[in-house]
Amino acid sequence: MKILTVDDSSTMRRIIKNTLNRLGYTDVVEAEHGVDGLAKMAGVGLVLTDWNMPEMDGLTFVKALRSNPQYKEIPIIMVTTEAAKKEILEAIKAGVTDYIVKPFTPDTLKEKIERVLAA
Amino acid sequence: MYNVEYINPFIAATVQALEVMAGMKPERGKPFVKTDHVAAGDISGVIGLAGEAVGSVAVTFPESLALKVYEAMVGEEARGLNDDVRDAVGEIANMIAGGAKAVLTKEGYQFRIAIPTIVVGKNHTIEHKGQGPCLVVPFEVDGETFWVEVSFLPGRES
Repeated sequence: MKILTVDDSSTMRRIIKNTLNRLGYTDVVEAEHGVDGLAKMAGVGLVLTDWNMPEMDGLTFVKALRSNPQYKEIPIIMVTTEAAKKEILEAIKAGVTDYIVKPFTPDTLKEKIERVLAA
Repeated sequence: MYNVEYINPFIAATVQALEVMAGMKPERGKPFVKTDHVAAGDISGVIGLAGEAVGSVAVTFPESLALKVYEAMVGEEARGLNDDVRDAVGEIANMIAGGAKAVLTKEGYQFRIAIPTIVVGKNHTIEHKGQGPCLVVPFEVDGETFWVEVSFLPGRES
């Protein structure tokens, strides 16, 4: 499966990519923000996206995906430092499938990915 | 007089970020009020806080500790304070601000966190936002010290 990780932090993209590789997901595409992410959606089966990013933030990116019939059902996990209930509810309303708060462990990432892919 | 109620979520978020992302267990020292703008470390990640509550938070590391933190987070060797290490320090600042925001929001303090900026160099300065006092919390980890600076003027949601 092709997985897209969208984060303006190269460190976070590297941590997520390394974790995904260890879990057996080797087809990982990186994007620095929502605009970059939209350009790299071809063939993607799962999206992991940060919230606070330049150019296009994660919430806008999620809304853009959900408004496109092609990506309406694609699983999206938001991976962000935004941990307040208000923000989590806003992300769910925008269409995220699941939510991971940074800092996170590899086990958390694994559990969330397995859960959304099994649904 | 600085109310320590506001500093505690930043302390907890700092410990959690280093523990979870780098497997390190920092121990906090005695906080003090900063009277100048000079950072004690060689590299700082700074994040502005804006809303009803305003201010900024910074985490500042000596170069040697920043490299250790990067290597522990990513599992790859770091050579000097390059773009990768700068990015990692910014992400730690982001997690400290985000973790503190989650707790403070529950208490009624509403603010947004900005995208981090990185400052590098011996004796670099950190310009905190707002007019509040700047409280510095030292942390010891792996035989070295790093510091978290918080300038926070709370505003409660009406």
